[in-house]
Parts: sequence; C-alpha cells; structure tokens
Amino acid sequence: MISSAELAYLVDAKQKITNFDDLNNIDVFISAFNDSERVRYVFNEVVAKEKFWWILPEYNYSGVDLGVIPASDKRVEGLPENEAELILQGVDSSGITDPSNLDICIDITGFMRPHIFMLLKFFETQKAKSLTILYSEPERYSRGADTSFSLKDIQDVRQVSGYEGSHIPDTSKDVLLLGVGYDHQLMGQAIRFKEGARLLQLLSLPSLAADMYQESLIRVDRVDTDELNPPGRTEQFCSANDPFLVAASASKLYHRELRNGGITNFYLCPLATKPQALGFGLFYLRELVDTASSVIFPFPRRYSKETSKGVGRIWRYPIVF
Amino acid sequence: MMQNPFDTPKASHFTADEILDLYVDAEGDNEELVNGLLEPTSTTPLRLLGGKGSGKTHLLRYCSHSVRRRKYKGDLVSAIKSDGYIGLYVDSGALNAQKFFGKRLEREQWQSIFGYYFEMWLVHHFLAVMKQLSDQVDGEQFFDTGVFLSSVRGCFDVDVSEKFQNIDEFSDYLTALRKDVDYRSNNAALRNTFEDLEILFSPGRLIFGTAEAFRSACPDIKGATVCYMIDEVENFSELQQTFFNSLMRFREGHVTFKVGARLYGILTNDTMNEGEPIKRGSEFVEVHLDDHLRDLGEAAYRNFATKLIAKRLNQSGINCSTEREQNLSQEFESVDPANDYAAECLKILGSTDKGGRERPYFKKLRSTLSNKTNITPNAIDDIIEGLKCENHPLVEKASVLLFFRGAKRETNDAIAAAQEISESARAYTSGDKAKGGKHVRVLDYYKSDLLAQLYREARQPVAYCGFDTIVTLSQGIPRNLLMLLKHIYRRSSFAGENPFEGGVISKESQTDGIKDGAQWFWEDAQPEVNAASVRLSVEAIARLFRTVRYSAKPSEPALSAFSIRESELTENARKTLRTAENWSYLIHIPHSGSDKNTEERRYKYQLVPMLAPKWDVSYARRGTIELDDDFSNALFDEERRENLGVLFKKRTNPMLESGIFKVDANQGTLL
Repeated sequence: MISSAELAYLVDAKQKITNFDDLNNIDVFISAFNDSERVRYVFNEVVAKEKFWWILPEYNYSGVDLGVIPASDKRVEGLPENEAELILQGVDSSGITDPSNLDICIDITGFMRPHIFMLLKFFETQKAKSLTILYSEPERYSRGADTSFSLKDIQDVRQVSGYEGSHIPDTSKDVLLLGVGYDHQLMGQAIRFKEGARLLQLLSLPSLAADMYQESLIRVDRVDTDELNPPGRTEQFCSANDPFLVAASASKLYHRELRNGGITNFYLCPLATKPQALGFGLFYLRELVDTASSVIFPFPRRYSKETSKGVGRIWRYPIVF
Repeated sequence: MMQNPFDTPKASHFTADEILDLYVDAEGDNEELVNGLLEPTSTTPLRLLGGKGSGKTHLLRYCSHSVRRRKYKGDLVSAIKSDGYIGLYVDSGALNAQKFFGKRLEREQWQSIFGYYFEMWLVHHFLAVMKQLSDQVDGEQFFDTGVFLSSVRGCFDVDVSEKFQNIDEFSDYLTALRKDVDYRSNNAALRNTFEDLEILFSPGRLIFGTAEAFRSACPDIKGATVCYMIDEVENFSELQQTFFNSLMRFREGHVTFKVGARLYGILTNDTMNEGEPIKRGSEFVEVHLDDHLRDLGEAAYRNFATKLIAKRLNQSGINCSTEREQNLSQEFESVDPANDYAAECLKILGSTDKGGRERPYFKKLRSTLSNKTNITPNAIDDIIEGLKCENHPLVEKASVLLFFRGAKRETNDAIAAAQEISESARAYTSGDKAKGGKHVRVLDYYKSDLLAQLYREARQPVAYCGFDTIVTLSQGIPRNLLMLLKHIYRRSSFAGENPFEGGVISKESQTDGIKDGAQWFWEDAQPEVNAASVRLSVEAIARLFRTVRYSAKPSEPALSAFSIRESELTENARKTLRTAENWSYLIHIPHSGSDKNTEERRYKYQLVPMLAPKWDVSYARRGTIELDDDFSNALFDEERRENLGVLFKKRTNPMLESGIFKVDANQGTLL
C-alpha cells in the first residue's frame, strides 16, 4: 500500500520526451558540456530564449578541447570547484537575476551529483517560477562493467554544501543510505567514511538498460565485501531513471528505519544515476531539512569526459517545490 | 552454519557490552595497557597514533564512561570513584567538521565558529554523564545542581540566567545554539548567514568551566579527572586541529585530552592565532600504538593474540578454556620443518616422482646449462646425477643454488664444482655439519625461499600456514589478526573442516584465507591522495622481492625489506614513501645501518607482512636489499618511473638463469 507521503512524490511524474516542441516557453536552458553525444544532442534540440553551456572544472577541458563548441553557443567558463560557489557563479554568469520570473530548464546529464543538489536547493530557495529537469539515458556505457567515471584519486569525502543537516553526538544508530552505482572505488570510500553506520543499499532495478543492473552488481562485488556486506545491511530496489520513485523509496526506507529502532544520524550518498541523485535531493528538501541528516559524497579530482555511447531515452522531470 | 566468530572486527561497530566483553589488555590481566599507556587519570594530554586496526578505538571506548559503568554493574559512581576519571568518548567523524570550511568565510572566522561549536559538542558528552549521575543518585546530596548551574552560567559572556534551570534545559540550550550554527552553515553557501552570529563564551571557557563547576557541585568525586577521548582526529582540518592544540596547551584543572588518530592524522602542532606550536614531551605525550604492540616482544604478542582469539571463540559459543588456549596452535595444520621440510617437499614432488619425471629444478638446471654454457650433454647428466639427494629435496635445491653461484661454463670446471657440492651434500645429510658447511649456510639462510621456490616449480600455491605464521603476519595489529582468522574460518568452513569445533584447519584453507586477508588489506588501505602512485611503488617493491626470491641465485635470503639513502630521494619520492608508511604498506625499521661506502645513514623499510602473501614473498624480517639512488627514485617518484624497467632488469638479471652465465663480449668473462 502506498502511503500518503509516497503519493506526494508520485504526483510529479516523469515524462518521456519524444518531441522537443513539447518543451515550450523556456526562458533559460543550462547544460554542462562534455563529450557525450546525448548531452550535445539535447542542447541542440532544446528551444529556449537563452541557452548556456557551463564548462565544469571537473572535466578539465582545455581551450583547444572547447574549440568544438560553436561560436554561437554561449558558454560560462572559469567556474570554481566548490559546488555551491559554482552554482552561484554559474547562475550569475547566465544572467539569472530573478528566477521567480523565469521558466528554467536544466539538463543534468553532464552535471556532477553535488551540482544537482545545489541547483535544486538554489532554485527552491529562490522560488523559481518553474524548474524542468532533463536527463538523457545512454544507449550504453562505453566500457560496460569496466566503465570508469571518476579518474585518479578521491579528493575528499564530505557533506554536500547546503545538505549538511544538524547532526547529534550520539552515533549509536547511524544509518547510511547508499545509492549503489558503477564506481566501486567511490562506494568503498563512502562506506569507509561512515563505517560505524548501518548500511542501506538502494539498487537500481529496473536499470537504464537491461544489462546495467548486472554490471552494477559486478562493480558492487569489487568493493570489499566486508564493508558492503556488514551484518544487518538492507537492500532495496528502485528504478534508475525516476527521481520521484527514488524519493518515495528513500522516504519509505527512512521511515521504516525510524520505526524499527530509530535513527541517530542519517546519511545519504547517491552513487548511481543522476536521476537518483535528483530523487535523493527531492526527498531531502521535502523531509530532512534541519534534521540530523546530510548528503555525503566522495569528490573525485577529475571525471571522465565521456562515459557513454549513443542517445537513449530522454526524460523530463517537472519539479514542483 | 555457525556464524563466523571473527566477524565484525571493527570496534566502531561494537556495542558498549561488546567493547567490554571483547577487550583484551595486551600487557596483562589488570588493565596494564590502559593505566600504563593511556593513563586516563593523568592530566597530561596524550596523542595516541596508530594504523588502521591497531586498537585505538577499542582502547579509547573501553575507557569511556558507558563501558566502565557496565564493568561496575551499572554503578557509574563506583566506576568513577574506582577508576579516578570520567571517560568521555567523542567520535570526531560525527561532527562532520568538513562543513566548517569555505562558503566565502575567512580562515579566522571559521576558526572561531568551529571552536565555539566544538566546545559545545564536547560538553554535550559531559552533560550526558551529569544526567546519568544525577539519575543514579537522585534524592541524595550527591550532586548540587544549583551550584553546578550557577557556576556554569558564569562561563558565558552574556547573562544566561533565564535560559536554563536544570541540566536538561542546559543541554537543550547548548543543542539549540549548535543547531543555530548548523542552520547558518547549511545556508552560508547561498547567503551571508554568519554576519550576526554571537559567540557567547570565550574559547576554552565552557569546557574547563563546566568541569570546574562539576567539581564544586560534586565533592564526592571531585578529584576525578575529566578525560575527553577524541577519536579519529584525522577528520579535522589543519585549521581545526589548531583549536584543540590550543585546548591542550591551555588545559585547566582536572580536564585532559586523549586524542586518537591515524599515523598521518596529525597535521599540525600549531595553536590558534598563530601561537607557538605545542611541544611534545612538555605539553603532551605521543604514543604509537602499533610500535608499542610490536615492541612487546614475540612471546607477549603471541599471548595477547591467543587471548583475543579465545575471547572471540567464547563469545560465539565455542568453549575455549585456558588449557585449550595454550594449545590453540594445534588446531592449525602446519608444515613439518623436520629434516629441512623433507616430508612436505616429498609430498610436493609426489606426482612428479611417481610419474618418473625429472624434478623441476633439475629440469631447469639442465635447460640452462644446455643453452647458456659450453658443458657437454654427458657432463650435464653426470652433474645432475651427482647433485641428487632423493629424500632431501631442499638439499638438492641448495646444491643447485651453490652450483649457480659457482657459475662454471666449461665442462671440467663444472664437473669439479659439482663434485665438491655433492660431497658437501652427502656430509650434510649424514650429519657432518663441518664438512657439509656449504649446505649448512645455504639452508640456514635460504630454507624458506627454497621451499617457496619448490611450491612454484611444482605449480602449487606457496603455503602460508601455522598459528605462528598467522600471528606474525598480523604484525602487532589486532584487526589484521582478526581479519586473517575471519577469512581462514570462512575457507575452512566451506571446506567442511569444522574449524574450532573438533576439526583441524588445513594448510590449504589457511593459505587461501591468508591470501584473502592480504587482498583485503591491499584494498582496504586507500590513501585519499596519491593512491595510484603509492600503490604502484609498493607493487614494484613487492615484485622486486619476488623476482629475487624466485631467482636461481637470490642475492638476499628471505627478502622483505629494503634500505635507501633518504637524503638522495626526490621530493615526490619522499612523499610517496611517507604515504606508504602512513598507510601501513611499509614499516619503517629504526636503527638502520650506514652506507658501506659513504658512511651515510640508510633508512630501512619492510613490506608489511600482511601483504607478503599477495606476492608470495617472505614475511619474516630477515633479508634487506640495498637500493641505489637512481633505483630508489625510479621506484618512488612517478616522474622517474620510465627508468624503472631498465634499472630493475639491471639489478635482477645477474640472479636469473638468463643472466648467471652471461659473458662480457669484450673480455670473455662472466659479468
């Protein structure tokens, strides 16, 4: 039976885009540039009064690399690494002074997960007139189960700006909700960061494509089994491309843990798809603000510029605050 | 199937009862380690450093009031009176201190905000104990709340007389202040939220004032030290660490700090406002727990390990009496060392001998002599026949090693050399150690290497087994010991051996479990910075050790360490070495020797024994290879790595079959 809390999330449903003309009246469209075909395809197809490519520092593009962007496309460059500062500067450089009068559309496909959280928080705080999120699925990941998303070392495992909560000293019933993804190194780091916490795993099933669930399991297996399989772990499955279902699932897990012995501090870590990160963000803003809950993330120094091939389905997520 | 008795080896996962039940003091049965090392009653601050799994958290939590209370059957007052201290365990990770950074605030601002927040966080723990004390002795004149609150109000720089009237309200008040800082921090990224924050007490006032207030209010236990045990301090930034360095310097009254951190965890000795750094020795004491456990000595550590295992077994319902404890090693199959491991060697060669095939080391010798020397085929037959010593395979291998050392390329020289070796072997096997001196020396040094080579030559896994082996591999780190046993138990159970329930754990299960443990160790230790480079360096060192060990003419026996001239290392190489040491891939061995030529001091490092089975190398601390400056830098500096292959070959070729008989083309002599 679906609770009323879960129903509240499901009222906002995802929509598949088959015709970009359905996306009308967009004042500002923002996308994070990378080498993926799907990111460039969407940028070209979307019609908006203003469109901006944000050049993220994580991809480490050189001037030569960026030469492929048509001169007519507007770019926002020189963005800082901190996710909060990046969003503030990006918004400012995109000329967005009063979001309450604007219909904003953001393609989150190329953004990092912490940016997605910050974008959500920013536009919620600023009470954007409307916020539409787009996400395009890959046809497949470039190297299947061996796809590498983050390069080299982890810079930091920390809370995402704006999602730091108000934690308490009692850690006896801490819980970590981990969105299981492809990057086993990141997963290991996140678990070790909160090694005293009870682990809940949210696995993506149905996955974006038929074999991706199996591929993610292969990656999960590469995380040291003692950490990913501590006594008392719990697993739950949720769709990979529906942030509203993710939010509802996360809410369900959270309330179940509260009922079954309680939670002292609660941590979320989304390491699967961008829609999952979006779902975690929605759940947090709706239910966890000012509680002993935060979103944590292992921040890699650099990301791979292109991890997927082809263009899969394109989704539209209308966000209503 | 029974649950693995060695599951959950992390102290952070234990309940207070488990901390108490599973604690084993490494130095005795009367908390000698607690009182001698940690000294909770001493007001001198302590830094307790140690690698992952060294037992820091368990030790600190063991001294916390929640565990001590259980030890005294729930009577916290008795615990404090008897112990002489109130242990307040603080997990730094829970503070999530990374949020006190950036967001367009200046360093000095964050220093103040963090200090303010952190003090309230610490005092929260103290108030939790106050609450328990007043609950326990409710109704008696044990704790004068009025005196306490009155004194505590004086810690604030503003009038807070209306803010709280009892301990619960005081605790709620501090929680509200903290939540206010949390709210401001959460929103600081989007707008300026700290503009009007008021810091309501001066640094140190609350933490020391609360303790002083407690003394005034509770004369019965006023002499007790208030011991803040702050664990995992590596979670704090350098700036944040200056704050509690200042707390340590300006410590007052009966308050003290015992700070737990990883080996790399302390980033600075500086204090706030760029004050003088705190001084080790006079202002605080520093102890390295890993080193301390290793320095206990083999027998003491073995005893500690045995007790640890016995506790785990008893806790999981497997009875382990004191008598059984003493004989625990018998439940682990080991390799019989008698007669130079003759029984084991004959078993390894069993199918080769049965099939009438030439033993693999002779086969290799034959091939090398045929291809690399001028020795005639008939002479090769005679040589090999002369070196045979059928019931003593390791003696045969020693003979082969001696032959390779002589490296005779011509028939007559080779025959003469083989004859000498053969005579030595015969003397040795008949008990004449004087005439068999050559073999005595080789087997004394190289026995374990020759056995390992034999396993490999026979395409069998190199065995790591025996209780003493397991204890040695753990190298003084309790978690390593438990992880090894966890994996061994798992393998042994799967093999149907009923480990610890009547069965003997086979050599094979131990070997497989130990290799699983080595892999776990390798995956678990992941430096956040420079990880890939550090691991490549460690892997290169391990491969060097392996190449030497399995070569025809190893230059060092039981190789597990290397020495270098640190002064000649590049900055990058030094950093890599430091990281490898901090993350316990390498162990620095003090009191190393000097360079033979320059008299300059050389630094010695051992590959941590836990990793030895991953590359089938020796775990015993015996052989050391001296590395020249170029080779050292190529190993540890990413930017010099392109030379590594050439330098590696140059160093190892003379030991390999392909290099032993190599002739200098100009001079016709062996290189």
